[in-house]
This record gives sequence, structure tokens and C-alpha cells, in this order.
Amino acid sequence: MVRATEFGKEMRMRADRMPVIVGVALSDYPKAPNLTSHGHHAQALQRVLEESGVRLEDVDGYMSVGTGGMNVDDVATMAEYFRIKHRWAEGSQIGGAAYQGFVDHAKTVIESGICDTVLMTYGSDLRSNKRRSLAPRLADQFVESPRCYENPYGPTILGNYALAAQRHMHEFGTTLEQLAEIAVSTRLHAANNPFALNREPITIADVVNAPRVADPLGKLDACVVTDGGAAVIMTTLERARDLRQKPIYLLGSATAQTHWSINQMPDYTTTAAAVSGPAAFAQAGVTPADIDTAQLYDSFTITVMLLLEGLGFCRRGEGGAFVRDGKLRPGGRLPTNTDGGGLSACHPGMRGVFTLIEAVLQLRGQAGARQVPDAKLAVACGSGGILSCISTLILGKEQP
Amino acid sequence: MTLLSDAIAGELPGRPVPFVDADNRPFYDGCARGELWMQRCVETGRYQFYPRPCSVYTGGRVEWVKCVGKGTVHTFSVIRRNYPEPYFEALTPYVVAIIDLGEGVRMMSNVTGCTPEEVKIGMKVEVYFSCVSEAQRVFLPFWRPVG
Repeated sequence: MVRATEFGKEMRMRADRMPVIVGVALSDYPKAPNLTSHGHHAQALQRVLEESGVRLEDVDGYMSVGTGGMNVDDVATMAEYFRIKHRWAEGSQIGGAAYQGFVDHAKTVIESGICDTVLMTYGSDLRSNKRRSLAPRLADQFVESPRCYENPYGPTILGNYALAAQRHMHEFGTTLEQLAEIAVSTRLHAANNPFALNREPITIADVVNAPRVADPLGKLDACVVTDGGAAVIMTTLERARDLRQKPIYLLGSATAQTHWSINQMPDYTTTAAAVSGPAAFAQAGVTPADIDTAQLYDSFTITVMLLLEGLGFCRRGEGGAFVRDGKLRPGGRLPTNTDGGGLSACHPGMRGVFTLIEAVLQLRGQAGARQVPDAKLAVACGSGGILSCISTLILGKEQP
Repeated sequence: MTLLSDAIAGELPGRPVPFVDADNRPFYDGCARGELWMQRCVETGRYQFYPRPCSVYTGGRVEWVKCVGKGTVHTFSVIRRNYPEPYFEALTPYVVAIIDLGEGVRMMSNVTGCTPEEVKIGMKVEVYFSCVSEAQRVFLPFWRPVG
């Protein structure tokens, strides 16, 4: 009897410490000429505090990855910038999977009692700051290992993804038209987002006939270049009761890595989503068929196709047939990248955090004209590096 | 016909030059002699590339072995634009490929000696070497169709 009571108390305590997402905010995008990278962090921070009701002094965990170098906008510098007195700081630079990874780790940090309130911020002035580029100049320089096994051959970011696309087309007969459907469906979503960079509808022919940049991929297979920043706050379910937003639940989360440099990819048509996806779905106790909306990192059209396959929405090699009927479009069976994605709306360098924020907005029912009716379950999947490190979150509207 | 892609393998100022260090010196020394050297895990006998001072299979010891220098194109892309890199932009279109070596490892390189349109997945290629820094005596492996 005593034991049963203790057990009940323990369960209530655990339920109170359940990590939930209580704040999400974006800074101005796609073009914000008056915001520095730090300014994007700061604006997103102000907005997330305002919308969530969290006070900065209550933040005791901080996670962020910079776009520059050490002592510019890394996690320690940004913690100083905001004077955050953290008990846990994390800046694992796994690229576009970083913020999914942060949510995954914040869950453990909060559950274990190390922190009560974890803040994440991101900021990039990639479009407006001409000094910066995702692709640092390769030429006229000595390159150290392991970059020296790629850079002297003139690879490009799009070209690296093209290596996967070429192989997918070769192995499975995937067509450019099937890849193009991903750009077309994303653009249709972008039309419903007033902030999206590109909102004019495009056709499959537009995408297929666009100039090739790195065969087999062309200009419209590639993401846009924008400014943008974001902030996310997680805390315990107990604290969430006093805050402004309905909490969003983290039902499953997992991260996996297969390589970092594209020359080391073990299988050019299989990503680590095939590991982190099933792991996250198993934790959540749901299947891809249960998902109402998917927010998948879309650096390029091929990225989305490989993530859909890896996560288990279709079998390996069947991504082309899966997307062909328009199920990713507004009103489709799996509305995907409903804010217009990186392909049309917002891609300031690392898009991962935007996929998770769009998932949260959809589950809150705050997505405006692009709202997926009655969205209860969403997947947010970040891809870092070159299809290298994939982190998957299953988010829910209702308490598990 | 002189192929623009042939120029890619020549010594032209501006190509990034590998920094030769203790870990990769046997590889680049081999390239300078016209030989392709790779590492093999002592315990498992499996090859690895790029060079590391430990085995990616066991964490244990590795040994250096000379490779045959034959391979096939595993996948590739024809790079048509490379705005940020004037050196490479001038060489477009050129082929960046992942080469499957007979020894069971892969490496990135350029395929030259044919038009980009002639490159296909599964195409048989052989290695050759070209100097990318006369001052530093650094040579790189490139690949061309067999025959």
C-alpha cells in the first residue's frame, strides 16, 4: 500500500517534469537588411519570451549553434550576449539537424532535473550580409584533411546532393519530374505564407526545364537563400500550466549520423533517417500513416525524397511514386513543408529549427492560411551536413 | 578536340592544394610517384579511405598498401555552375564523381578525358596523377575512361 502510494507520487512527479515545447518564434525573414546575425537571435528571443510568457531569468539551459566561428556567434558567445546563467549549454554543430538534436537532448536535460527551462536561438543574415556564404572560397588555399579529399575537385553544395539524386535515378528509375513535384508542392504551400520569398506557382515543366546547375539537379531543385532567425523554449509540463501557449508534446526523438563529407556516405540512397525515423516513431508509438503533416528539411528536392523514404512514409526507392500524385500539396494526404519550406520560403543556412517551429504552429492551430485542418501529429526532421546527420522529432497536440 | 575538362587535371594556379601532414603523407607521396596508396585495417584486412591513423573498423592499427588504380563510376554530377569559385567556374562543365575502387573503398575525384555527357554510372575508369603545386610537389589522383 505504501509502495503503491510512493509509485503514484513518482508517476505524478514524472508527469510534472514531462518536457514540452512552450515557445516558438521567428525573426524577420526572408530579407532583413537591418538585422545582423546576432540581431536575428535577439529579435527571435524577444518574440519567444513575449509569446510564451517565460522570463529570461528563468532560463537555465541554453542551446545554439553559430554560423560563424569561435567567439562570433557560438553558444558560449551567445550565452554571454544574453547573459544566460545556464546549468547546461550545448552547441553540437550537426548542421541542419542541430535544433532537432537540441530538442532531443533538452528532453533528457529537463526530465533529469538538470534544467527547468531550456532556450534555443538561431540567427543568420546569409542573404543580406554579402561577406558570408555557405560555401567558403576553396581556391588559393591549402586545404587540410579531410577537406583535402574533396575541395581540390571543385564540388559544390548542390553538386554533392546531385550525387545522391543521380544514384537514386540510376537505381530506382526516379525521374526529374518526380523530384520536381516536391518543388511544385512546396511552392503551392508558399503561396499561403505571406513571408515566403517565392510565392508564384511553378509547374513541373518549369522545374525540369530550369537551367541545370549540377546535373541532374537544376535551379528550382535548390533552396532559396534568405535571412532568418528563430527561438524555441522547452520547459516542464508543470511550468507550462502558468504560461501563455498550449504546450506541444514531444512524443519521440532520435538522431543518427552516417557520415559528414559526401565522399564518405555509405549508401548514396539511404540516409540516417532510416535509423532516427523508426526510432522516433517507435518511441511515439505511432506510424508514418498517423502523421497529419510533415516538416522535412528541404535543402534540395532530393533531400525530401530521401527523408520520406528513410522515415518510412514509403519504401526505399519508392519516393518518386509516393510524391507523384500530389499528396505533399495543400489539401493532400501528407501536407509537407507547409510554410513553403527551404525551397520557397526561408533557408538562412540551417533550416532545421524552422521545420520544428512550423510543426509546432500547425499543432497549435496557429498556421493561418496554411493551417492543416485538425493537425494532431507532426514530424519535424532535420538534415545536417550533406544528408549526413538526421534528427527526427514526432510532436503531438495532445498529452500522451 | 581539346576538352575543357582535360584542363581540369593540369597544373593551373588557383586549385586548392592539399595540406600534406603526418596522416596523409604516404598517400600524397604515392601520388607523386604515380601510385595510389590506401590504408588497410591490419585486423580485418578491409581497406579505408581517406587516411586516418586508426582503423575505422576496429580502432586498431592500419597498414599502407598500393592499389591497382582501377575503378568504376559509382555516381557523379556534371557541375555547370560554381559561382563562388572563379577557378572552377572557368572549368565548367566538369565532372565530380565518386569512384568505386576495386579494393572496396570509394573516393571523390574528377573524371576527365571524355565529355561530361559520356560519363555514366558503372563506367570503367583508371587513375592518373597530375601536379597541382609544383612548389609543394603535390600531385592529385584523377580518373579517365579505360582504353
